[in-house]
Amino acid sequence: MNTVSNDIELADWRTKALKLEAEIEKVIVGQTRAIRLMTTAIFARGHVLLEGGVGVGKTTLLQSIARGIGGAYERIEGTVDLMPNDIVYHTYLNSEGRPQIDEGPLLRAGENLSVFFFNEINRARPQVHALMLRVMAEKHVQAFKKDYRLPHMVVFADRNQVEKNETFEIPSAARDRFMMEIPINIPASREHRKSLIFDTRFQHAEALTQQVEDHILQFDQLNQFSDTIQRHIQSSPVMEEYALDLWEATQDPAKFGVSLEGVEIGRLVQSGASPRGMGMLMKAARVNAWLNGRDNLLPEDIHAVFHEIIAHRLVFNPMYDSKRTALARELTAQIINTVVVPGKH
Amino acid sequence: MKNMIRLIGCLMAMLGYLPAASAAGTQPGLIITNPSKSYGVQIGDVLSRKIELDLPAGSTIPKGGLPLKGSKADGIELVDVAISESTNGDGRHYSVRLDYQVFASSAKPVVMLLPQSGIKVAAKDGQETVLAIPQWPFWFSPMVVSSSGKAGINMQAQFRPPAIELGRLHFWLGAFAFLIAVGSLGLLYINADKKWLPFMGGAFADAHRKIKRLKATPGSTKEAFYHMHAAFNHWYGGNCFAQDIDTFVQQNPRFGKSREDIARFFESSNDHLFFGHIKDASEIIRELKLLSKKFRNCERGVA
Repeated sequence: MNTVSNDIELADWRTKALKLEAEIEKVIVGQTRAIRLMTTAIFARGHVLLEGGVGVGKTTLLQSIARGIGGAYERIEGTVDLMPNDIVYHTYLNSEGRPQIDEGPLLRAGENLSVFFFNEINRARPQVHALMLRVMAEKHVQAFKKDYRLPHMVVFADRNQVEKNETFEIPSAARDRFMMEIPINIPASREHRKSLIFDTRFQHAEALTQQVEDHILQFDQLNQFSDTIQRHIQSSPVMEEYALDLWEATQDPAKFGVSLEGVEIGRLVQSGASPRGMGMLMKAARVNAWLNGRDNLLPEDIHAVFHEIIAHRLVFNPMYDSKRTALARELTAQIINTVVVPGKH
Repeated sequence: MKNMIRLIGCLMAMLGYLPAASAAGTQPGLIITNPSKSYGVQIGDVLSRKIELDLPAGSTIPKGGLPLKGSKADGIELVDVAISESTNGDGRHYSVRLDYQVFASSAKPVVMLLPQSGIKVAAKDGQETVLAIPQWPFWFSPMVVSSSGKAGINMQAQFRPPAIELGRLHFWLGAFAFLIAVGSLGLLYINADKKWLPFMGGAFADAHRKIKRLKATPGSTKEAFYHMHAAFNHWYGGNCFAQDIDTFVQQNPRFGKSREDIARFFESSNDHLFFGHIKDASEIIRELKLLSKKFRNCERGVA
């Protein structure tokens, strides 16, 4: 009976997840893969770094997601003078001329906070990063002499990768807290580009977001259901061996015959994926299997999220760091293409 | 040669009539015993003549009355003379032995003669008479039949040994040699890993060979799938998965006819490796043998 109800629950939630994707795709064009990855992150309960230029629709995308999953959406802009307390509270003079302290964007919605968007996180100081990363990990924060719990919060952070002035690079240990780094690129299709600039409905982001059906998911049940997915999706011993091989390949790609043109592969990687990163990889892969209607993991499930989960975790030799984005993409692609499954263990 | 043998036969027949011991009928009291065999005498043989002589009283053989030892005639030498005497009533009895050795030689059988000789007898009154010992013919046989001459006379023409019919054996020899050659090539084909051998360098040929050697055990199924995936990866140029089948076929049109089989393989691989649908190991190995053979044929362009 439990199994049957479990299957029904999984199927029901899957229908909702696919509907969420469809609803978002109504208002965000040319981002099918990014939407699938964000759905995966939501059900894997992982925080997300967004990679992409300005004006590609990141805010609209996140607002649409927040509307679809329910709960509160909060946003803060990363600036060089932003301090940790600016996230937690803000002070102002009220109508009576007295100073007043209110909860900041992080605490304002309390446990109802479902999506927190940190725009241009690398413009904020490391102190801010430290607070944010701690909240991301612990899902609660102490303020006003009480403990604020944020159990349903998923953080989406955008990095400005164009400008380097007055920015603070997020250290690798901090990057590791994010489950994925998802690229949000300008759509490649001319049809999509044409729609974006000539279709008038894209001129009003707020109105656009309102077109998304709200509360498709129950944000406060996502944590529990995520655990259900993780328990339900099975991995075979061959898959486990394969995941271990992939992990080892991120640490020592030369051992698996991975090669990149113009790169001394033995000196490229200083540090591969972390155990937390590999755990997140398998978590997201299970969600991908569930979204594809399967009960068992396939290599394709890992491939679907491998680059987005692993690339930002790799620490390269400084001599290659200037080409980090391109090299990381090439390296993860080569690893997937080279590490065989089933392996000869 | 045959004529020679006939001639010898005739002469021997004639000699058979010669008396082995002849009595000198004209000379009373004289008995001559010749050698018992008058043929087959060869160089170096010694022929002995025995002479029995009875002399009346007062008659003797004087000194020098016997043939002289060492005398030769026609290559026949008197090599020994022996005499013994005894009384015989009033008279005396003499027994003389003459040994002749043949030193003559001939390349052909010839008749030779023991020479004629005589024994002097001195009567009582001193008168001497000579008792004649006649010639004795015998056949000299050479130690070699023919003389030294052209060897060609005695040569015989060579003939092919007619004993065994080799045609049938040659047939079987050829048949077995053919079988051995074919068998050796087969063994080489099955067991060799040499990439230079024709049609053996293909990835699926290699996979098929390796899968054929596998025994049906739970562990071997994973290895069999490994070999098959390695072959697909080889042709694809990287990891090939179920979702890559269309690209795979586009890149390698020779596998186009087996697209359904390829899809079936990936489905089976996923079932076994990732979904945990346990099937009988022998069934999996058998199925992979068939599939790898099909793909090998595609690889060779003979599907």
